[in-house]
Amino acid sequence: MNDKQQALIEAAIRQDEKMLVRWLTKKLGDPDAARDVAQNVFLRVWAFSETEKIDNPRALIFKTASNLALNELKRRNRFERRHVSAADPIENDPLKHVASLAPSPETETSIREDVTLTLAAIRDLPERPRRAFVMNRFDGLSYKEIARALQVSESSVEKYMIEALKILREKLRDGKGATVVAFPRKAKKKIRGS
Amino acid sequence: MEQKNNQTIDDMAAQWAARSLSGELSATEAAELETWLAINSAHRAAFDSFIETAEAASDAGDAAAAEALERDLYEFARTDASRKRWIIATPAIAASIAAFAYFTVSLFTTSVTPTRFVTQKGERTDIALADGSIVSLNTDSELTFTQSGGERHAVLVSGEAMFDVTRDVERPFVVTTPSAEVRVLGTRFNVRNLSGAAVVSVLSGVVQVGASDLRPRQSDARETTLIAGQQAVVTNDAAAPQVTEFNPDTVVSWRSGKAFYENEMLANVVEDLNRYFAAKIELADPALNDIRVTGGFDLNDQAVAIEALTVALSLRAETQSPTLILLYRDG
Repeated sequence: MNDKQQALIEAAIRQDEKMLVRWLTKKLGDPDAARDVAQNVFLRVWAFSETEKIDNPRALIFKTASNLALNELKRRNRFERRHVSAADPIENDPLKHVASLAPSPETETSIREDVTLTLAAIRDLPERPRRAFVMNRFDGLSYKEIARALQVSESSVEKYMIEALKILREKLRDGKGATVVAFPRKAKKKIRGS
Repeated sequence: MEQKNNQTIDDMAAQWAARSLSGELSATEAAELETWLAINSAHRAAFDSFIETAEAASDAGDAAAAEALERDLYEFARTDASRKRWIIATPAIAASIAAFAYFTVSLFTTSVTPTRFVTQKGERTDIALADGSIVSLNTDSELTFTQSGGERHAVLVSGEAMFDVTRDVERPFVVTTPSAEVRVLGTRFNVRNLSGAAVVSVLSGVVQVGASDLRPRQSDARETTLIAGQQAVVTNDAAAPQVTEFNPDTVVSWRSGKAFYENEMLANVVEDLNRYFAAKIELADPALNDIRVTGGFDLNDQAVAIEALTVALSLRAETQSPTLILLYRDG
């Protein structure tokens, strides 16, 4: 890494540090956790810059921050669920953030296509299999919790999951020719960033 | 799981996949699944295809959620009104390093034994280490340095030093003090020993700060990451280092023979100045302790420093002995 890149990254970090901590505090509701995540973001960006050429430090910082914030939110969500039972998961349709996925001019076009395709397939599932599948896959709810939320038996939840899996596998097969894996492993690493 | 007559391999595979996605597979069920998968490679292929479908869905959900967060962050950054615009400080410290200590060079060819560097009161020296890093050692300080295959290790036994570390991803540069341990990737920072604490100030780059192995009693101190412009006080007692911002001009001004204080108590100023001179300054009257001092002092000449103090604060200096100077209120 040359000195110019080093200076650019430092400038980007300095410029955005406080803003990033404020944003993370808003998202996580915890200033201490926000500072920890922010420090982690900068450490990762810095370590990355040791070996890679970085054209746009700010974009890298923002992407890394989004990924680490998501990890933290998921971690907390799991943690909280163990202690407080899911209050009302039905109010919390996770597809609401999925639905806002809009195309943007980026390089990861093929990954984005896969993501868009996969999400569209999920959105097109019949109502109950969709809800069950989304709660399990996106929110990490147990079948028991899903059964309570949908007011059905646990064996029904399992049936919904089977139905969802079958439909999705067929759709994603259609979309990708012979491939079953809609989201290539290598690309997955990339989009997860850090 | 029972197989009904009309069920295909795919149906069974989907059932098993749904069962295992519940995350509540019992030991019996798990064994049963393993048996079923082992019967025939088509079983495993069908089962895997459903699991991969489920994982692809989770990944897509994560990607979408991360993107939504990223858009939210850009929007937040755009509207964050209270955002401060930073002026990028690029102190030309490296340029000011002129004199290197040549005696170090030959010592690192077989350097398993630590090399020791010592400065006397009032002395400052710049040391070029064999790895290309530069250490400026402040007054009354002691530093040892060892270089092995996997690590570059400096121990700041006492005093203060500024490190300008050359980047070497393969071999981290570690500075240990009696209180703190600092790990760096290649950066510039200052470390100062206090009694029971260390102050680490980062001028450029990123460093990791944690508790020292040399600490008298181990606590569950957390590691903290510092970026340029941040300073941490690592004490032997507190679990987490306190992170603050600092003024780079005052923290490493010692390298150019100056000390700067901003609204500092006279007692602290005197204590700090005493690090540099053989003759100790003491305040004759405890009432003087709390007088606030702002300004710059010459570290090369004690007489000049004392002159500046006495004039600015209306004090009178009396040399009691070659090793003791008392300050009184004038008049």
